[in-house]
Amino acid sequence: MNLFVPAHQFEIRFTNLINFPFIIREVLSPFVPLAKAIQIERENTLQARFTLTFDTYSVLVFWDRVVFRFEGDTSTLLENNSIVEEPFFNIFSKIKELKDFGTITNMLHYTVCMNIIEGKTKEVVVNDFSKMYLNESTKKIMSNPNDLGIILEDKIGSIGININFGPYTGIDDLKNRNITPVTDHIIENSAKFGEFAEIKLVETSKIANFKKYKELSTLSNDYLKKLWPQL
Amino acid sequence: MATTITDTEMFRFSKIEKLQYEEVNKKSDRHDTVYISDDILKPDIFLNQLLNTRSFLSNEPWDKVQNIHSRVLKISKDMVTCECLIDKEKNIFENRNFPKYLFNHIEKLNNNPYIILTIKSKTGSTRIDILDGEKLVDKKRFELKDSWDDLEGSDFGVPLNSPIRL
Repeated sequence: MNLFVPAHQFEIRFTNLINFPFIIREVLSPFVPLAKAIQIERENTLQARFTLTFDTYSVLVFWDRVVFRFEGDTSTLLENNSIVEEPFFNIFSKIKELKDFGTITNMLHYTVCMNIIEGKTKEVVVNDFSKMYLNESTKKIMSNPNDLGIILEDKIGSIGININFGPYTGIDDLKNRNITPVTDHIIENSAKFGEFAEIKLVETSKIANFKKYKELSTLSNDYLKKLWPQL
Repeated sequence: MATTITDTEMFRFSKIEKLQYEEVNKKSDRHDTVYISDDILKPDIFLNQLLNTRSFLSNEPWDKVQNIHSRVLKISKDMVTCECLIDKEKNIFENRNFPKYLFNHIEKLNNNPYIILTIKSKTGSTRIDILDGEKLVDKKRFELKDSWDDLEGSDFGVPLNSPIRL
């Protein structure tokens, strides 16, 4: 059994910065030496997007949000001085210090996981999943589906939870979500089969910090452990 | 797994981002195999091929990356002692020593400059990059630590054993 995270995203959303194109360069410039590449799209417009690309992660800055994107072992992100804390939260703190900054609206914690089961074919993983989760009622609708998924939703306090899981039926499961892995070992395993899960947490909070990120990550990991207790 | 949700909030790589990743990887030859042709025996081509692999090496994958806010504390003949902020939540600092030559590119090293230590590691190997942190490091945390250090030995912890005479 092999667990891979081909996509992990953390977003902090805030009220729109009306003068975003004019003030953001000064905020981002100190971080450029850390980055491998920087890209500016729709320059000098409110919808401008600044992308700082690092080794296996990138930070995107919009007029209404900052986004952290990563693929790989997410457990390393919870450690002190991880790439989430620096540069991501440092960039956000610089934006928050701007005199035109309003308030945080919410945060998105989104993780896509693949549990690759060696030696199993697509038909076998779909069949195994059907046996475990489908009952007679669903079989009456479609007795032998070639793909399936289950969505569970809940709201606990200020956190909205959406879990979408099913069999992992190959690279199309990633393509359908516009996920393009760049890490070698994830690319190699993406052609295999197993189980798949998308865990999305949306917290409506005015506070966004590394501690909050760790809390959301812990919650996401707890659901993953319940989903795949054998891990 | 069947795709059942369409949500613009979700993880989406736009075409432009894909192109950007491809561009970055193309530049670094990250996933490319270095093809060796028959001309490899010619010295100039061999040298070019060898140099091409340099970017490949500089883009090797790492298991863990840490960016640590630091300040140069002390410089000796061969070593530089840095005060590293290892836990921002609890304000825990740690002094760490590094070879002096890693700091050769840092201007005004004697003025205790702020730096960013980027430590990349994986099983069996580690890499340390020293970056100028003048505009990145949260200096207030270091200044606060200095204030607390100044108070050390002020006997604030000794309880009064007699009433204060007003």
